[in-house]
Amino acid sequence: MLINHPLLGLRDASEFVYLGDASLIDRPDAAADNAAEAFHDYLHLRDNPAGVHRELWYHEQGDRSWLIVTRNTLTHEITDVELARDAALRRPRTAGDAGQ
Amino acid sequence: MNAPSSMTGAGRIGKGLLDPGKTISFQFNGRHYSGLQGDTLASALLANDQRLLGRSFKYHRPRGIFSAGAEEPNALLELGRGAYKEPNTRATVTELHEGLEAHSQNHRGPLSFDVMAINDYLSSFLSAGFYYKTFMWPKAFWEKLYEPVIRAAAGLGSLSGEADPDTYDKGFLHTDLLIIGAGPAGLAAALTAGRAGLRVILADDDFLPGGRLNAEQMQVDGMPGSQWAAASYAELLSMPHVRCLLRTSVYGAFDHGIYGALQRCTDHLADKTGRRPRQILWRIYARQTILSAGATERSIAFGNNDRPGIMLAGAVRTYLNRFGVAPGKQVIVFTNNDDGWRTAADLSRAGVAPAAIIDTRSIPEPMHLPGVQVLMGARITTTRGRLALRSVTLQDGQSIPCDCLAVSGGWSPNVHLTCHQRGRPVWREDIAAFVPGTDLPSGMRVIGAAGGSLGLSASLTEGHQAAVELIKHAGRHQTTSPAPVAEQESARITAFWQVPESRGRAWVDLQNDVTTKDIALSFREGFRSVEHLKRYTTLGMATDQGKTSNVLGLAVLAQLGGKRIEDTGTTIFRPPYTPIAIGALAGRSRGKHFRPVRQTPSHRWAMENGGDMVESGLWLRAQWYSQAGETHWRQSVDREVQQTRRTVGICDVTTLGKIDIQGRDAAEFLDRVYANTFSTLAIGKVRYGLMLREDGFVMDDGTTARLGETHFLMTTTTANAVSVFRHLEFCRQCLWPDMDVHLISATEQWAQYAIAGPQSRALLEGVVDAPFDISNDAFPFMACAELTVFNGTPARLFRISFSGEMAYELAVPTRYGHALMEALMEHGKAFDAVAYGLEALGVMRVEKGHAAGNELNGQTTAGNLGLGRMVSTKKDCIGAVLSRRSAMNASDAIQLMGFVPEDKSQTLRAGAHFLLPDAPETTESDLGWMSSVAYSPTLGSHIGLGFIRNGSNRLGERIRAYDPVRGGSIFVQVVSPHFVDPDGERLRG
Amino acid sequence: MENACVADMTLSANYPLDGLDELIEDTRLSAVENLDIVSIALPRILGAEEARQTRDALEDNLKSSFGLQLTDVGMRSSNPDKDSLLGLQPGLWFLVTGKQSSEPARALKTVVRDTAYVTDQSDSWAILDIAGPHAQAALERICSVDIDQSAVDATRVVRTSMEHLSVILERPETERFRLYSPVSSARSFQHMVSVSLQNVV
Repeated sequence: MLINHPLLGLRDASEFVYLGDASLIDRPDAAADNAAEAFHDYLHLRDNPAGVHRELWYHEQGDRSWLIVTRNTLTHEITDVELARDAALRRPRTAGDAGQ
Repeated sequence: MNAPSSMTGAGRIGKGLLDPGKTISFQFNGRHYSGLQGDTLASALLANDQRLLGRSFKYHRPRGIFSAGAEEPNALLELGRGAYKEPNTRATVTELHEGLEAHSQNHRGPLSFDVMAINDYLSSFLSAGFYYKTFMWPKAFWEKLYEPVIRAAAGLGSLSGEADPDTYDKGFLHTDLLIIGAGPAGLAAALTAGRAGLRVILADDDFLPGGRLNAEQMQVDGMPGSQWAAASYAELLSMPHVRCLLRTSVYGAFDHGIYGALQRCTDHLADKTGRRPRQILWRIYARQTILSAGATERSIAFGNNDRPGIMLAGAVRTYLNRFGVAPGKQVIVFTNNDDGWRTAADLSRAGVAPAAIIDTRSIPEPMHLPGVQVLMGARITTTRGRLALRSVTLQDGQSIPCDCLAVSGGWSPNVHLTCHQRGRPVWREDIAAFVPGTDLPSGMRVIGAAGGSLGLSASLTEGHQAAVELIKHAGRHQTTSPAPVAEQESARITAFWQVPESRGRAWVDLQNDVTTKDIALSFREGFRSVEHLKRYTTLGMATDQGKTSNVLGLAVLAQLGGKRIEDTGTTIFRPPYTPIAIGALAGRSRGKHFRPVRQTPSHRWAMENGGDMVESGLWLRAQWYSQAGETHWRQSVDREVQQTRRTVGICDVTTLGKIDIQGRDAAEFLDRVYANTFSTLAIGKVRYGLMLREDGFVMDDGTTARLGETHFLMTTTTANAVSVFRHLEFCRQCLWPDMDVHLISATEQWAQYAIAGPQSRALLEGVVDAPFDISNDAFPFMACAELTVFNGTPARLFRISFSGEMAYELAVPTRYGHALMEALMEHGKAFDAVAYGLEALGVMRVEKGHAAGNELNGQTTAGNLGLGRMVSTKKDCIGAVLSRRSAMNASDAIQLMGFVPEDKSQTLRAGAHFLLPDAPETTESDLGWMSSVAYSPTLGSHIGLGFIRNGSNRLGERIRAYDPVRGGSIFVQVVSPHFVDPDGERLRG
Repeated sequence: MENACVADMTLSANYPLDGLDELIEDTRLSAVENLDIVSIALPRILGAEEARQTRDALEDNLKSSFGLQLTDVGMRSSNPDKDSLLGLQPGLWFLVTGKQSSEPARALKTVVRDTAYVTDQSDSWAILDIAGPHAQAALERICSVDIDQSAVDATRVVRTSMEHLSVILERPETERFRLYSPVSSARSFQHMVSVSLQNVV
């Protein structure tokens, strides 16, 4: 497979390490009342669809960026790639964000 | 024509496209023959009138040459000798070279009298599925009798049993346009694209570019097709941005325009001993691909249609036109289409008057061939001739003598690569063939015969047009050169698959000995899906993957079920398109090349000082250093441990992962990734850190030093260096993207040595430059500093201990690592210093009760390790929430404890499970397991670390360590995991 | 005595490629051992305007001291002294310079001051030059990234893996490639490049 890195263009998938469902970037709030349940769901209840999936790939043999790759798991067609950091920065800010 | 027949065989009636001045001698079954430069082994054997080349797979039927290309099912030979021997090589694609040695295979006794031919008479017992039916009983016979006999009888060629002496390589190519197949369509496309400046790769299986142009008598742009092909190829070779790969099979189409190709570099050379690799496995990254792989002819099923001398009609033309070889003196053509007639025409033109042309169609003769007996609407029911074809018999009983039968059942486009991404071909009734569907691999287009355009003019036009579209697509300047011009020949066909009046078996798959009867039997027994048929009969398997037989088999199955072919479906084509040697897939990843080796800075010193090296991941590390007189590794290790605990020992610990962490938020970041707190750590201090996974289990541990307000240096275990870095990047980029934190690996930057033992400070005081003060007051346990050593070399010193002794780790830039080891050992002589290896390191950490890889196995919690209090309850961190789950904090959870054998002479074993002395050996009674063991020279017995339920309440208890795998169980006593200096007085001293 | 110790010894430097200089037919493999490498990380500031100012401040410092511009990821800038700045990660560069120092990070810190975080990488990498007409063909055997002149010229830098090793590649001249591989496995890597070259000459 080839992954169209947003900064570097097409790179062979062998340069990347796969993690899984992109929802892993949405870590729950540890201070919330239902934290235990939320963390359980966050960690163990992830989607694994046959079809379009947003997933995390790490460019370990490259620029060390974590990417969110939108890929059809049936055809391997990749329709979108973005830096995970950009997606993370779009999130509503929570108590877990750095106070600078 | 100048026929060099005296030199290269009686079958040679012309020079074809060969150079009659260059004769080549070769051997077949020990006899010497001559051929010409440009011959294949098949054409040279045919020229020498060698028809019988081997025996079939199951029935050991005599077989000859069937085709002139990669689709060959019959003419499989063994090439070379000794370690170079290669079985199952297709004679039709083997380029003849000086000294080539070939042998027939799959026979016992001489080829002409194979004792295994008895199978042919037993054919009624060897039908499809005979394995499953015949060898069922008695059950005990399978292993002792049936299997050995079947194994001895099965298979075709044999391997040498020696290591492959050749070298192989691999490589990566990138291109705007990959063109697969250098026939007329591919050449036309390559010319147009190359002239427009596109980066082009043109690959072809053959050693002569041109494809069918070299096999036909057709004209392109007013010149012979073969001449046009040669001129076009010469032009392509002159273009620096065009790479032509002959002798290269594109064997697979993978995701996103990635193709696999095998280039044969030395197989055709007489001298193979050069240092060049034999074959190269290319991974080709193509933005666009043109598949112009042509089409493959197929046969018709009729009685005894497998005899030597029966071959595809197009192959007869190839031998005639390209190689100047007449495959027979009395040739009959049997066809269901117009293309077969061209074989008769070319034979007439070459002076080999065809004996007859038999056409299954009842239509007017498609062309006038003077002097040739024409039989329209006729069928062959059987053939005669034991070792070579002698005659054919027609449906009306008429028998016609012949020594060669040219059969054409139509042409099947080579759709294979279009299907490697699960594409499904579609049936086209007008050409009675499958053509590529619409679900092609990304970036691929199919032209010419591969796409179903079975004609020269169409192929050339499509090749040109496809390239023009790609040039436009790439935004390049258009060239105005027109498409090459040729006449369009007729390819009319009326599907005809099997002769209903056939007498005797009618073969569908020659290589696997699958006949129409086998398909019928399979159908009767319920294997009606084409995928089931394939697996039950083995139709379409083995080296040719059914290139000439798949469509015919499918058609026979469709007729049995009364279905249309398109409703019967096809099997799935998978890579590779043609066979690939395992050696080529391994490439150069053999021996030393299998994987890289990482050497520590003291590697050379270790090699010169008795270091016994062991692989630790990619690293090579010294396990121990043998000294003169030591005959057992334990002697070395015991000495290293004792001397370190008595004076001072030095160990290379460079392999520990080191991560340089900087940023305004670095301290806060560490608080979030470690279970314990780091923001309170003072500059110039080191702290042990415990890292959890988000599920609350322990991931890794190590020490982190604070070098400045915004600057930390983390260490990880050797094994987790990469995964911890990856995890920290995930945290930094995905979880807390606002933080100002920067990570970079410093593992390779620093050579780091542990200096441990009561004399460690005394030794270091002599090597640390003034004015740095490392007295216990100025530089206490868990201090760190950036300083210089040995008169000016920059260094970092950490007062940390893994051994339990007073200890330091000293780091210098890697380039000074070798010199530092030498200097420390030299300066250390006065302190009786010893170098110690990985094994002594392990012994001392077990003695001290430190957890390592065996304990940090991903299934243990901080509580299990006795480190529960390190998990801060005041802050969130990775793993904090889920580490508080009740099950992970149960009162009877496993705890890390120490174990000593009741009988001090006994050996402990890691992996043993703990049971109460009288408990049964069941899972329910299992209390835990021994994780690490060592012989402790300090205590004079084996000691162990392990996890046991409710461990801290079991101090002194007698427990059984049960080891069913290696036998036996022994009794142990539960003790504190800290065998040496439990109060830590030494390391603070 | 200032900066001196009891032991009357000094430490000499050793390099894994040990001055390698090998000519295979017309293409040369040589070790480069006289360069300092320091990573430069740009502080992360929220707010577009403040972030731009931070970057400008760092760039000003590098321009005035080295005449080098900050580049995007995958891009390289260089100066007439053949110092270069390699854009390897978002917000992270390697400065590669022939102006050597005993403590390169400390030396660079005086240039960038608080506009960047710096880390010495000089001893982390072994540098191998491959120069000559067969250089590109040799690298095609081990590098999966397109290194044709049309894709990689002197303005580019590529970080990828070759033979299981993390490698940084640049092409300062048409027929010369510079390869940075981890120092611990430098000999394995050099062997792999040598074999590639022998396979193509």
